[in-house]
Amino acid sequence: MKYMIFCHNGWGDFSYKRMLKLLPDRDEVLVVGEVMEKDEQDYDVCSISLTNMLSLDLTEYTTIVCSPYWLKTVNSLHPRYMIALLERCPDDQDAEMWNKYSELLAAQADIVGTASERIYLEQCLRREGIFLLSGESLLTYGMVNHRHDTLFLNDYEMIWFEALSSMNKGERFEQWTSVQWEIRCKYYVDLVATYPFHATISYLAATYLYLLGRSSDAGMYLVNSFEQMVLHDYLDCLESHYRFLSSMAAQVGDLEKAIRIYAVSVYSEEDQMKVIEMRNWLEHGKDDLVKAEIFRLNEDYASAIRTLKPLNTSESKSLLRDNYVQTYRYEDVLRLKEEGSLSHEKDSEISLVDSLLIRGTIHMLHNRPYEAVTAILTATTVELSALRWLSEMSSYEESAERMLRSIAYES
Amino acid sequence: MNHKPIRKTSGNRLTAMLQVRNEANRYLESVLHDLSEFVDEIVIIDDASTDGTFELCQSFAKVTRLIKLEKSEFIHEWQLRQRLWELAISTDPDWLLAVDADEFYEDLAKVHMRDLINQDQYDWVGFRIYDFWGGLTHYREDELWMIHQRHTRLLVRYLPDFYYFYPRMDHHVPRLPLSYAVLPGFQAELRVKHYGWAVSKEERYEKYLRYMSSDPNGEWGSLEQYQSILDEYPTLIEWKEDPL
Repeated sequence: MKYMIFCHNGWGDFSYKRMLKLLPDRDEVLVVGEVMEKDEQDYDVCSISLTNMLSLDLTEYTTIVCSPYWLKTVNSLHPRYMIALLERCPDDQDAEMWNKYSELLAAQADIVGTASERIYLEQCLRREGIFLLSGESLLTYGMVNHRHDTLFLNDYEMIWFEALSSMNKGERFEQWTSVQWEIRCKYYVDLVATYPFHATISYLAATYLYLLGRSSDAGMYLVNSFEQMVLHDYLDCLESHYRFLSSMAAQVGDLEKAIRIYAVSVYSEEDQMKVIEMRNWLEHGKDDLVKAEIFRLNEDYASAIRTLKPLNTSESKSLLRDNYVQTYRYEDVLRLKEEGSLSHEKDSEISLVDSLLIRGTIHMLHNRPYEAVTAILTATTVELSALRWLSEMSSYEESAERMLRSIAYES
Repeated sequence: MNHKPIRKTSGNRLTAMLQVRNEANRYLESVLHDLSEFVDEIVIIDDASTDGTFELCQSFAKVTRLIKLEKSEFIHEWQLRQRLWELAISTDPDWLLAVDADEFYEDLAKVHMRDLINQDQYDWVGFRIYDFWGGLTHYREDELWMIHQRHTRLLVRYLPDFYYFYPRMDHHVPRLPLSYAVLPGFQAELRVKHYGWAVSKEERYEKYLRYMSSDPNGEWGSLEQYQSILDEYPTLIEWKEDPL
């Protein structure tokens, strides 16, 4: 298997060097930009210039992309697989743009890894195929031989290795997600026993139990976390903590309770209308819509999408599209639209603008600037504020070019 | 399915909740008369009184729930608070008012009470409590006695699916579940007269001894404040009723 690494700020800042030795079925590993000779030997990688990289046929390569600013370049080269390694926004970058395009990167990648547990958990609630590339376990979970080295793997390395192996074989790798959740869950549940009055530890234990579908156990940890937050005067936790209980109630199928819990946390007229809408759905037996909406309102888009995908009504498709928009699955949004399954009243003029902007973004990220600008200018004929999209695209292009120039200069 | 909105703008029922102990010959009767004018129900836990407190409570029509404990639970105050809370919510209230057996709402507060609860924008109301000292004409104000400078949460909306808890403390437990702190509230410029210190010098001395005996190291409260109960010449300010 051939791999190509696209670092954000050059090889020096690449923080997953050891992981390169663990790449399964490893054949050739190329790094775009300069790599010190010693590192080339130590990590068994070869440096390749930007110009030479562009002349290769990337359909044979699995790309490892560490910056959202590579997305346009990598997309246009049609790699075999794309692995996204998500990082927190560097200090010198615009956070809003970095985060948005990191989401787009994650949405397009075949598999996603990150060393940040915060990013990891956020992504686990947004999509599938997410792996944490850090951990605390001191135990060895396996080993890999690379040239003359024998590498002992810790938990997350073993999971990452197995997931990548499955991906390379074209097999499913979701089971490794659950294995990782089990390990993280046990870690935090054990930690709660040592630190019972720590709000964050209890919250994390609750979150992993929830991800594992064990809400009946998770509630106790969440409630403990809520108590600790309040006792320590962190009072901004109505939505982050209390409302999470509504998702747990939805997960165990108690939808009436889920709505009631959600209703406690809403005050605006718009949110109150949402409560009424969900009650009507429940009354008319549309339980899955309620369940999915409660998940979405708690930012668990992954569960919402899982719930809605098998449904085939215009209402469910409309909700599914909303979840795709929230998670930057732009191709899926357009696919739903093209299937013509959205005849729901919500799919009106405003969504025409949205779909044009989405189409424009996809064109831009696939290096089709003419089509991108045309889509956005068409959107401005309906809604002038769509013009800001042009300015955002131009900022993205500038950031991407700045990064490419620095790599080209390096090599 | 129950379509009743969880926050109503009219027709809210108000339940007052009190824990009492040996209050028969003090202000309890007046307090119950007063509450009977503006609340719908009264819920009381009698913490093992040895005087006629229980019978006095029984004589008020609006006292719909009344429990007498065989043995005082005051040394584990959070449990007592929890028990009163559970009794109070068994009346299926919309709002709850936590009252002490020596507290009186000023007339203006009583007039506005229904306005405070018939709305859907906030879930609790804070009032200013004034500590009357040595009589019913003046309240105390100095650096250790300034509870009236801030608002105390005394009136809360009951939301059946919310999570309620009291801090597990033996003394100085807040009257209402702490979890209300995360919900939006309203700080009303309305006053509550607290007559707990409007007693003779001898009675104050007895209270001082009680505080020192239950919390000798100032674990639950301030020793300095306990000591100040004995101040010979505290700063007292004359109470003035606000016009309606």
